[in-house]
Amino acid sequence: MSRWQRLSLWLRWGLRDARRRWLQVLSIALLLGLGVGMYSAMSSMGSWRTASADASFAALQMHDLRLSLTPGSFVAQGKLSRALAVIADHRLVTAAEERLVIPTQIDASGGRRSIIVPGRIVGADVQPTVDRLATVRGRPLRTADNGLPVVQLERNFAKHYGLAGAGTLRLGGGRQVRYIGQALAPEYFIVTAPGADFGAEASFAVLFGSLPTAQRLSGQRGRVNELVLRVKPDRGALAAVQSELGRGLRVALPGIGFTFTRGSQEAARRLIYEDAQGDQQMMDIFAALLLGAAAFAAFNLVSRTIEAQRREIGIGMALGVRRRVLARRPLLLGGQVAVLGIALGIPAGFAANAWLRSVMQSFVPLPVLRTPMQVGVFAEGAALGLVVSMLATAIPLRRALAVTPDEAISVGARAAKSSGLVWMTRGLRLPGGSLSNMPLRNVLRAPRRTLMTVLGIGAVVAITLALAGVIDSFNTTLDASRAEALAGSGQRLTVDLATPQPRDSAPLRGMIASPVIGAVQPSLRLPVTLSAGGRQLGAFLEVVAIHGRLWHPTLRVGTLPAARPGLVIAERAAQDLHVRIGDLLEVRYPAPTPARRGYQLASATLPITGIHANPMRFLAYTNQSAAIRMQLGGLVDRLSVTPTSGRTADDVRRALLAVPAVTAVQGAAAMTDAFRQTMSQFTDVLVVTVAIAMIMALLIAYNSAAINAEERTREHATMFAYGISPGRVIGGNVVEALLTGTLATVVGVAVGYGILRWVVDVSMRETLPDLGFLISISTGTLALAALAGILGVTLAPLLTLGRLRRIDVPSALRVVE
Amino acid sequence: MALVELSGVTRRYTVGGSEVVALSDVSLRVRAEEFVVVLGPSGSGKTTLLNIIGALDSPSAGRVIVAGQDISRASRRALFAFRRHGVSFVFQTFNLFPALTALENVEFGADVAGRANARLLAGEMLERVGLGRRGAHFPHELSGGEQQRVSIARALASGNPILLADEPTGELDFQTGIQILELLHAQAHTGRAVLVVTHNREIARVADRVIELSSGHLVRDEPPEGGQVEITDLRW
Repeated sequence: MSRWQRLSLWLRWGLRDARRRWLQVLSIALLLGLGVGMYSAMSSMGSWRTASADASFAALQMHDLRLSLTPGSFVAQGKLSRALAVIADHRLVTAAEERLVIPTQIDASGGRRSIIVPGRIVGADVQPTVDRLATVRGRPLRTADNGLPVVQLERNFAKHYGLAGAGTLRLGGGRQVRYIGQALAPEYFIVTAPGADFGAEASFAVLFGSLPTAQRLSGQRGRVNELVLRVKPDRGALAAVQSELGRGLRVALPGIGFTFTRGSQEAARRLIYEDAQGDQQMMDIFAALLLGAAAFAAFNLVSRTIEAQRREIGIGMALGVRRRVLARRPLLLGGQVAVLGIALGIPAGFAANAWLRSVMQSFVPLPVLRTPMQVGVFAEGAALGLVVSMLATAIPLRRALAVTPDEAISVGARAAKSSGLVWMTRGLRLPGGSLSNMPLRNVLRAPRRTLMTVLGIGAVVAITLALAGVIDSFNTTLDASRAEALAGSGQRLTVDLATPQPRDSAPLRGMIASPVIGAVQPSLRLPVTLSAGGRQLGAFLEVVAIHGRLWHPTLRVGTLPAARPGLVIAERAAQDLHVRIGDLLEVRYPAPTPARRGYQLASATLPITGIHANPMRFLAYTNQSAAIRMQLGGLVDRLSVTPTSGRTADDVRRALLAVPAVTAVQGAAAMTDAFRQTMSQFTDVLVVTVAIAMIMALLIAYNSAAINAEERTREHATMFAYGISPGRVIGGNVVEALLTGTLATVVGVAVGYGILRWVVDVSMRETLPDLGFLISISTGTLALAALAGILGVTLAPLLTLGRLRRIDVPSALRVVE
Repeated sequence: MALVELSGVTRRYTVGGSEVVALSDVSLRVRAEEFVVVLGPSGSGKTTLLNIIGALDSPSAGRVIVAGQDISRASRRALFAFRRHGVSFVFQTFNLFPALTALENVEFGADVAGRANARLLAGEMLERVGLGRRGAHFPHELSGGEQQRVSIARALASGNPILLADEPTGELDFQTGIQILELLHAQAHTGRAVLVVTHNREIARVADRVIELSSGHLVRDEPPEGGQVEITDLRW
């Protein structure tokens, strides 16, 4: 026999082995294919997002450095650009643009729908060299638009509300603008707003116009408040530019505060990359679990196949065939499962790629997408699939080849196998007859297979629980935040002013006197930096009355005294700053300059006196005593209001839209509601992932049930011979599967909870540091996990009913295995 | 009274496109308290005969009445019920349930037949086959002879009037085979009909009647040649 003929013989033999169990082989291959496909797609997400983000930021020439004057400060156009002259090496700055960024309210209502949100106007050159716009719908801005009430609308906001490509908007103060297109801007690839680090597109709108347009709309003619720069990518160039420019500005703009923000630290940019990294870690875990689930199932199938070949292997040994040769058939089967799995993994990978690509597009719609099929990653997944299959073959094969020919060939009583862990139940008798005791015994009888099934199903349950648990935790956290924001009044709205005003100022008096406004409670809310021991974080510090009738923060611990300065922070803030009640925090805040021409940064040290109940890290509260110490006494830039009886929140929004000093009117829980809306998109991801997980669970369970049915053919035939009906036999198998499924669910829930904790405590903490997540698993999630782990597994034996009915009882009873 | 009555029973199979006649026009009667041995070489149809009597197989033609019930054209459901209450099996390869102890395996026989106090009855049956002290052992902890005795105890626990044994000593050594044969033989004296299929002619010497099949035809139905002997006289 030639080498080729020999090879051909082995291949044919292997194919026959596979064909005998074609349905199981196919189900394992499908499982492996899903594992490999999902692995390659999930593992590609991170690099897609990074590559797409790199390309998008580069295409739109995102700034490397942003200089912002403290809120409320403006300088004459050209002054910030001229300050660049102080930089010794002019070549370090490759492009610079002055901008005017103005907060405003935007009314995009149409038909019966009311959309009034806070936002901002960004005025810049219509053909900027820094921070270009990518027009998605409508037309871009042109030079002819300079000074006209014509703008582009930020795409994420427009998409969220399904707005037309062009239309009309009303702005705070009653002004009207025409938007002629929708655009993506690098700073808003992920829309963030003051106090909402993620998913603010529902509650924050950005308008892009020419600089003269922004100046005209805001009444700041000939003035700017921002400078954005692109800097040479040389080592140290950015630091040098920041340092020299800062020095020059302190001389050129005495008494005006300013801050620098590096491009890499812009919320959108930072979040995109951090989110990509954090999500990738999570995806890697899920991908590994999926592949692991496939491995456990493959192990079961190949083990059973080798077990069925035990006598043939023994005969081969007795005939002097070398073990290496005897190993060929099982190895060929493992190889076939692997090859088929990898082949099925290609379409599965493409499908998963397409799905995850659309998820990515919907979550972070970037102007440039780089989502190629990652051949290297797929090859890695395929190699892992192959290794997994071959390992799943090698381990049971090794055991099968370790016995003597005599042991392998022996039949009847001499071949009686040990019954695994059944001995543990020797003294245990469950209610009911002998049949009632069988399911538990059978679970213990093949502990390795049970373990592999439990691990495979458990992996699927873990994925389901962890994913759904993330959403539950989000919801619980947002619920807690919402409940806190609306404590005292579900109708409370917050009204933000462009700049702090004295309590008795005319605009304030006018608003308070508005017939649509009922109760009013003034406060002052400032963007601040809290620091202690070298650690710092950004926050909004609100000066509130702790016994305010309309609203006041709920304190979990401590107090906010009236008579002396005090500071109340979030628990997460205390954890991150490593401080506790009684410690001192340095607060850097914008304070009005003595001449009230603008704002400069000032600092004060305040003692922490309490921890509030809101899980949002960036919320901090202080009292009037502290405000006086900070030279902010009597100033107001926020009102908590409720509509008068018979009026709605929309009535208040419309009434205050006409007031120029007002930049935002929104429900007190608007921020959490916006978060929630964004999270609802995640539900789609959950549904698909859970559907895939369910399919995998069913495949694993079916495979296990089919193996059990095959292995116990003789027992089933004996039962039939004694008059037990197939329905009753299946009933016992269903109970057995229920036990296995329950065990798998318990394991999966435990592992899933561990993953959830990691996601929340480590991954999310880095991606969304401002949310003090409350870990939670809802009843619905537990039900979903049970559905994946118990229901699918329990029903799997039903799929073997046909096989049971087809058993040739007389032949099976005489089988000598 | 005849517990088993076959009239003109024929069983045909189609194997690989061609028809095989496993039994051809077989008629016979077996009464209570009879110990009948069915002899014949491989492929003679003896196991088919046993399967038809045990309602594991149905005849292509002819009539089968067992324990007063015509099972030749009974429904699937009726056949399952018949097996629970009409016949019990003892198999060559014992076919015990590995996950159940010896006692529980015997209890299974009583359970499926719906007998009261199954546990107690199972204990008694195990005692009767001499394994009273091995009830807590799992099949893999028992010898071949012990497993077959458990298998017989399981069949007896059902209380069914007909005991069908297919090569019950085929897996056992001589000494153990004799013990098993004694046990089966004893059952014929408790009102049961016992049919034992074997190719071992020596066993036929202890039968009340010997039925011999050849190529599906009944070629002999009479007491053993040379008269019935005691089990202790057997040698193989």
